[in-house]
Amino acid sequence: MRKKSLTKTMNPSVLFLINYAVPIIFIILIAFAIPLSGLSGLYFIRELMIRLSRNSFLILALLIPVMAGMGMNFSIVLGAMAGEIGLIFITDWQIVGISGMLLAILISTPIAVLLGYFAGIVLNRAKGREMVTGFMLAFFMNGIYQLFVLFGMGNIIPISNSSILLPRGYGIRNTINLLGIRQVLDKLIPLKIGDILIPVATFLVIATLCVFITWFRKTKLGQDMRTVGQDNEVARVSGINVENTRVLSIVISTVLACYGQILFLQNIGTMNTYQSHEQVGVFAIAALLVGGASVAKANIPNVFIGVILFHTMFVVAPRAGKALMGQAQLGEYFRVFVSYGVIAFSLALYAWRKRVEKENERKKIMNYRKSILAK
Amino acid sequence: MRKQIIIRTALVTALILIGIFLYVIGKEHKVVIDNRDISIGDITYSASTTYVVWVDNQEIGVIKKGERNAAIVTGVSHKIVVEEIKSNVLTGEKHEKRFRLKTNESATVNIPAIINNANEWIDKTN
Amino acid sequence: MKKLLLSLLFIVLFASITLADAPFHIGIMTGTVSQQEDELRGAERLIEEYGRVSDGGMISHVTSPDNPDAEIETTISQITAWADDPLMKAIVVQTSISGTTEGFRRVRELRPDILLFAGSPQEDPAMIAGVADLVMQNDNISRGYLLILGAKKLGADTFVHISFPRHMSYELLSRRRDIMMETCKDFGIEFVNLGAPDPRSDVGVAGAQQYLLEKVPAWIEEYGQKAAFFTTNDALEEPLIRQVATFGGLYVEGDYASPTMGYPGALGVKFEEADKGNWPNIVKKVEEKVIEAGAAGRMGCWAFSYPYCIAAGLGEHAKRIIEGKSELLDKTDIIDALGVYSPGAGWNASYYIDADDVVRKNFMLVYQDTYIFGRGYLNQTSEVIPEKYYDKNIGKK
Repeated sequence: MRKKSLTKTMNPSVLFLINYAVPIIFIILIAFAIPLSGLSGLYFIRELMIRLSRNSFLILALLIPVMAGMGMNFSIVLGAMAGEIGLIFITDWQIVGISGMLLAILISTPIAVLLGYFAGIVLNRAKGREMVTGFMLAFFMNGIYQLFVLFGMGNIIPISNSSILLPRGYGIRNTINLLGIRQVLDKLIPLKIGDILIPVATFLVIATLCVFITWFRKTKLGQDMRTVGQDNEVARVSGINVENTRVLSIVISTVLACYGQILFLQNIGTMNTYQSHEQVGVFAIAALLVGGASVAKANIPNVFIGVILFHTMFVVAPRAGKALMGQAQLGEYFRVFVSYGVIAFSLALYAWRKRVEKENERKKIMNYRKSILAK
Repeated sequence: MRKQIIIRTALVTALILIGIFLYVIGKEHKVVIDNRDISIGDITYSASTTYVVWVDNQEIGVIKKGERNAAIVTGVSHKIVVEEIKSNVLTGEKHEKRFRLKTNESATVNIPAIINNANEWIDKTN
Repeated sequence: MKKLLLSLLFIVLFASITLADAPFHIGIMTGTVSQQEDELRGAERLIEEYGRVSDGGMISHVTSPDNPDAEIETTISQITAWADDPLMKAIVVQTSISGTTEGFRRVRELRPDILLFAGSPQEDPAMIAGVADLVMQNDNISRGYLLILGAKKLGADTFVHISFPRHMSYELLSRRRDIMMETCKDFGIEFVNLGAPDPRSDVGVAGAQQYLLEKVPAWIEEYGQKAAFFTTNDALEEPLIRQVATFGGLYVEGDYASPTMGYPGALGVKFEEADKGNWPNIVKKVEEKVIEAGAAGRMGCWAFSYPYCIAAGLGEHAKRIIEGKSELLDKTDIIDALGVYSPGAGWNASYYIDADDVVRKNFMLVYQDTYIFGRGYLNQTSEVIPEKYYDKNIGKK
């Protein structure tokens, strides 16, 4: 029975279905949810535009470690923390506008490099289990971050602004108002089509990153990473410093995530000091998976398809749930159930797909051997 | 090797300089605007009417006598414009003052003092 | 499949066109029942009165995420979605969780004509007051004076304040305690400052409640039957109410003063489906139990739950403004609107004064009259509070 189902998966159309199961399920769900939600097209486009502009950068940060064969980089949370530390400083110093944002980037880059280097070294010790290690690493660093922000700031690092400092004299408040840098990049090049504000500058930044990633694949380092991603031993034999290359991929990813988080928060305008970064990894990875990527293969189109599908769900699900079940609070539960359920589903589906792929691979080799033996 | 060190130091220095530059041009200052009685030396300027206030061409609002309001400004040099308002009509009598703020400075501005062209119309504090 | 989708689309479109009878819409966002159900009942009360938008009524109700700090994006887009409805004229949020300010900013950018009301802001007060048309919060400053006055009216000679360091590190709570101390001094009442374990510490809620259950009888013994008790923590209200009801002493009102807070658990009051949002019934049931416990005339609360009144009252106020019957920042109009949902209970309000001494006229701090079970209202809202108790540096000299 089991054998039969596996041979079936050799069929290319079934294989396609399996490969793109998550995006397909999402498209079906959304097709049902959009009319149910009763939201107007205008709102929908506007919301999608905002979500594309604020989430794409963070998700693009995931691509390079996938290239180096390190799977989904859950430790982008570290980069997000670095970005937040930069934002805390500029809020404390009351530096606003685009210069405030640039200063935050300037301050947080070395922190992100350091954190990325640390994460890279840890992940090198856990080859083959990068994802779960990265996930736990994020929890670990969250503790350090809390210690730093809740006790260090105001005690060791001077913080003078009473609007971000807890009344007890040390530690940062739960929410920080980022009014000073709110949407400075989004509105840098103002363009309005009808009622829809298009964040031109933000999209330009995202486009630049896409160009960078495409170019990066072709550089010597990019080639090395892909070799490392294919096979560590082959890479080592051909003279590539595997460990170093892997660390570098994580450093780049962390720094990009740091910028991504700053971009995200400048759009949101408020920062939750202790929670803003927590979901970053999970949401970015889920979106990428929804976009049809796998832990071993992810490209730029996956990112954008993922953002559109995953966030459309976020936009329509609460109202659809309300329309379906009548009560507002049930709509909220419906959204949580669908959104997180789908994340779990896409991860489980990947694990299953990987097992099937392995099985197929083994089968191919067996067949090959058989054919050789038959000769 | 030495060349590399020089390049790196130069790069770091340049980044720090850019940082300082960004700090100065992006720094926010609070300007508190009082329409209250003020005593400078022996002279007392008293608040008697209502004014509309603009700081850096941004309308701050109507300040009645005895009230205060606050404006947030960015950067180094600034301009404040005060115009009297009577029964919701602007009288056209404008008073304009310019001032510069160092980083970490905030200011308290007094409208009666501005109207009377007193020297101590602004009080800068760190 | 396609047909089904099309028909669904038509149903939705049809519903929104043919049934849109109300001349304008009001959006209201509350928490789900998992936090505290009173504000949701407030929204339901409005729906009962003015109808749902989907049925051609006036009220569009949504709930905020249960985990607001992690899902700020959801809160923002829930609020912004209302800007899309051309008939939408006002948005009310109670409790204003993180993300409300940003949601308001976005609505303001798209639709400057929509009234934005925020109840009980969890974000920085100055931040939300900069965007919202009207912000409303529990008046902890005035209550610092009024709680002592209420105790005096009940004949107290001692006031016992129970709290812990985390709460005392909150500016407003420690300021309220200082006001209480000052008032006690002026009234000749002895002020006693007692500590209790923090329910958020390792002892947990159960441990902290246990501590109070054990300690309160001894405290009543020590400070006498004329001691009034007060705790800053919601979780500690239940054991305190239970022991005061049994062993004596006074309890003017809780920090979160609602008949549904503390009393039902402490005295075993059972509510039925019909009681939901029916405050006179709830008060009657609690009152019966209080009298049964022999605590008539010793214990009180606000007769109408605060979040319920804010949610419904702000909605009512918005409706009246849109219809041209009320002024946005008129104190009497606001109190009138609150009164619709709390018949018989008085209200009063003061303004929030920020750190720069600027009076925020769109930030109203409100309080309701105290209802003493077995006795009636204390007329707290008609009392004039002396100016000196609003001094920021009170008790610091």
